[in-house]
Amino acid sequence: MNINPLQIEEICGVNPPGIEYINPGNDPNFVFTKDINFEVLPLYDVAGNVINVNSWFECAHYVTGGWSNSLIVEYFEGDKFIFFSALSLSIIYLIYSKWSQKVLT
Amino acid sequence: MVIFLPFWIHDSTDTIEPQRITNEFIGYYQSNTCDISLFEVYAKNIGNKNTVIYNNNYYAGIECFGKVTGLDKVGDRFIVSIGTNTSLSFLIQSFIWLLLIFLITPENNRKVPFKFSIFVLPLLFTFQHIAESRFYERLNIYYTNLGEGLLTNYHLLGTFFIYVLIFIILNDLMTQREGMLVNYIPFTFLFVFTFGGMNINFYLIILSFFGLKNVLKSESNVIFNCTYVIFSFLWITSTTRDQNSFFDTDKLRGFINSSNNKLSLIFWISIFFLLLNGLHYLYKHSKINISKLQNNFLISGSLLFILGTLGSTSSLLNFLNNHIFGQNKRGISNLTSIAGNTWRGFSASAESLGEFYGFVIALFLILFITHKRPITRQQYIMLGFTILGLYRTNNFAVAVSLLLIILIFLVEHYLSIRKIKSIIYILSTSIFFIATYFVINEMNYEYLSTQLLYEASLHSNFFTYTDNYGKSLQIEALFNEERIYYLINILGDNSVSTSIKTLSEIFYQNFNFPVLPNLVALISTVSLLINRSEMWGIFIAKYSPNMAESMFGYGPNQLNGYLYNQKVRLDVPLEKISGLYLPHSSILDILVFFGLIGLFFSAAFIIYTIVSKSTNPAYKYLLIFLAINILKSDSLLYINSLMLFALTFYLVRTKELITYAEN
Repeated sequence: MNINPLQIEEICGVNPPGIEYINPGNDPNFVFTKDINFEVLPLYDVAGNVINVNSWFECAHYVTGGWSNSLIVEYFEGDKFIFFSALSLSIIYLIYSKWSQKVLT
Repeated sequence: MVIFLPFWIHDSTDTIEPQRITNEFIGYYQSNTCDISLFEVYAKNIGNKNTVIYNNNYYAGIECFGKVTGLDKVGDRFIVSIGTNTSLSFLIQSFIWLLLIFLITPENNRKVPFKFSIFVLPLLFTFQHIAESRFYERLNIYYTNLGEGLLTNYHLLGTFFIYVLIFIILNDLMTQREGMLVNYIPFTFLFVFTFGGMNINFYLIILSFFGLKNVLKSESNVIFNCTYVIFSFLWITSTTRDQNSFFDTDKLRGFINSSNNKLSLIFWISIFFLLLNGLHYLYKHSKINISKLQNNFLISGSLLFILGTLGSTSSLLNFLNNHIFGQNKRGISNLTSIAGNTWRGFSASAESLGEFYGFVIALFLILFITHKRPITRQQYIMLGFTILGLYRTNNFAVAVSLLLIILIFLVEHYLSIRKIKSIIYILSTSIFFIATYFVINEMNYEYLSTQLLYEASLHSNFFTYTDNYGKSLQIEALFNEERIYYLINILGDNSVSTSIKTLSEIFYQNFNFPVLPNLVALISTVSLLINRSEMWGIFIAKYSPNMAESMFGYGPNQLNGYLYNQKVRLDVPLEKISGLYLPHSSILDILVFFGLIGLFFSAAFIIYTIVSKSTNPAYKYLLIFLAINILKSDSLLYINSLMLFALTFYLVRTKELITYAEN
């Protein structure tokens, strides 16, 4: 994970005095402490999942993990892409086939 | 372009650069997904001492196609997942393979006008996505079943139109090439043509096309079709079906039913019907060019060995082999053999590959002896690779049967005096029986005749209160006391398979034909001599058909009933307990699919073809060679082996054979 202080500041605001972001690692007992002075902020991931963060530290952690404060709709509608591609290719081939048949005869 | 571009395209302006794969960068690859292409990551890791394997991720979206979707470390190997979305793979692979068919020189420029009957096949193949929903929903992110509606179901509509596209192109390509296609059957072992993330094989699509043509042109065999309809009715009404059992298809992907429901059964019944009709159509319209066929066999055999070896040494080539050639199972990833013996290389099965290599060598020798044409240097080299391939598959049965067939062929070809031939055959048969007698005496008849039942008992669900070791001790004690019938038919009662109970009853039958050996004792002895007693024992423990299933089978390509209907406790090491245990004999496969009646007709057809008059009797040796080998292998479960078998029938029966002289 790459820590980007500018991005964290942009999304989570300036870090409260005495609090620096350090990666908590894989500690299973780690619990984010709620900061009553921090306004609850919703964050989104690329899949559209949402999470509410309750402290600057928690926010910084999720931002470092790729979450953002704006819902990025990057969902590519692949099924539609496949359908329209296959349909167009079928029509193009049928037209080509008819045309080549005419040329042959 | 179609092959390489999808794995090369990336955004070169972004800041996400490929990194050397080490422990340190696992997180980097896990958080930067769908940005780094396969070729980028490969180029960055040339010379990397760590073992890097590239795996397919069929579930990824189209935007991730050809790009890294994750990195995991398993043991000391780094597994890089490459997005290969099932729907896009389907479209791309169809293009590659249609282009390959396009490379075959056409016989004519005839174009058959597009007919709406061609929509039947796309509908049927799309129906599979509904019938085998459990298979497809795991492997395609866009999968949506009929519950979501039809007109807005872009997944099913897209699949349907890909099939439409395939069939309208096939309509042109095949019409211009149908007579010559049979000469390219040798390449079916190289181009396996199983679509990535799908349970369908491109050859099934091609043969279904010819199958429908056969039916529509009324060229099909009416008696066969009526019999098949009766069988189909019985499969649908009398066999056990459920919604729960699911077979992930493993190495049989593309030519086996994954589900056990009625809809998927109907799909496979229809496809198998079209497949057989397609083979029939090809037989009637094919012009076999023996010189081309021989060369294609040699090219395919040598390329299989070369590409298998390259795929074993390079993880990138291993990945690309799978994508380009449509392997139903990834090629072996190292040069060492499996369990110290077989090396399957490019193929999913070392047994079927060994049979293919043996077939190529046998055909080459038969043609060389018959036509006495000089062998070119290229043919020598290709034959060398093929022999090396056979050696690496370590298929002892193929080597022995090949030697035997060639010896008999030599005797038949060079000896014209009937008396000398008879003496040689009588002498050989006598030596065989004397040797068998000594082996039986040496190994003890009691042991030989009951070993199969013993193995079947070991894997059955006996003595549930104790572990496998305790179970084996109790079974051994009862076998030593000759209380086999008590164990299987009384203690076993409803907890063991119907087949083990039937075999036990046959073994302890009251009447006895003099001279003729007991059927179970005979099979048991043979199974031991050909090293199949454990595998056939597992088969007997698992195979538990009802009366209709035993007579007519579970239906074509239906393994679920065999695999999951009967509860068993396999007496195998823990790491092997979840392995796939196939019957290990194509005879048993036919028994599972078509029952005793189907097996009888299949055997009768093979025997009839061998004994009846033929214009090309030399090729009967190839048929005998394959028939011997499928006794102890599951080769007929693979579509390429089935097509090889069909080709051998064509060779024996065809009257349209273009020989060397005519070439």
